[in-house]
Amino acid sequence: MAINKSALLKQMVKAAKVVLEDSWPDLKEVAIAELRGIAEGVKTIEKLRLQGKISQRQAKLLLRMKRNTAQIVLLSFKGMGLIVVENALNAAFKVARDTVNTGLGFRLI
Amino acid sequence: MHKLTLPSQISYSRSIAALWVVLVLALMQGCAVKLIANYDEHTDQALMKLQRSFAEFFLVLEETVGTPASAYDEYRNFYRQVKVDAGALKLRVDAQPLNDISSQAVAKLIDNIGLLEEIHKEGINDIEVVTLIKDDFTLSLTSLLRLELAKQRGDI
Repeated sequence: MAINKSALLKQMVKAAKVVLEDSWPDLKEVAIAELRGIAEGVKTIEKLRLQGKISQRQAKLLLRMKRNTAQIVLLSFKGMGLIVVENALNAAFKVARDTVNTGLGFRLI
Repeated sequence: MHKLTLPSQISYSRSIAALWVVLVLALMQGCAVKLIANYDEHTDQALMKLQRSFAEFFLVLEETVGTPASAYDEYRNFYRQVKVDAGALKLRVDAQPLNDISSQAVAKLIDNIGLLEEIHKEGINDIEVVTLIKDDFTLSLTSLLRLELAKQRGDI
């Protein structure tokens, strides 16, 4: 059965959106570009297998490799998403602290 | 018994609320939120070392693909070295608190090194196969490094 690259990319992008949640708008361009590359790689594996340039076992191993790579990419974006959230929270706390101190007229916290 | 009038009740509630806000904020004094591990220079350097090792590996493989020089046996030392280096990287990322994401990602990288070795044992005879695998390792190492550098905070 021929691999549908667009359908595969759509599934990976959907998974990435779930992982990234609120950080998706900030990271989506890079995420989609990298996942597109992975989807193309999966299609290439199919082509190489059909051409007899790799064995069935090698095709399976290469697919596992692609899956691991996709997971590494998503994990890295998940990590960067956490940093975005962390920065936002700390910025909010700083504003709250500065507001309290300004309101009181002295540095309480 | 003295009963609070409505304006006094509102003023009293506001004062209590303000006090709670101040107390919570006071407790948070100096306590920045941290959701992920700090940047680690050793991890950064370990990733760069792996990147250089794989860059050289793929360069030579591209030049020799399809010849006896590209056979797995010619690369035993390479696999030994990268497995040692990747193992050391795993140890380093595992040792840091709040570093579970990098830890999982490095575990996937180590799995890929094993998969590459198995593929290579069967023989890599076409340049497209080399390119396919090279793309995976380049993307994986780039992603890991990108995350590590982002941990320097404010670098996204």
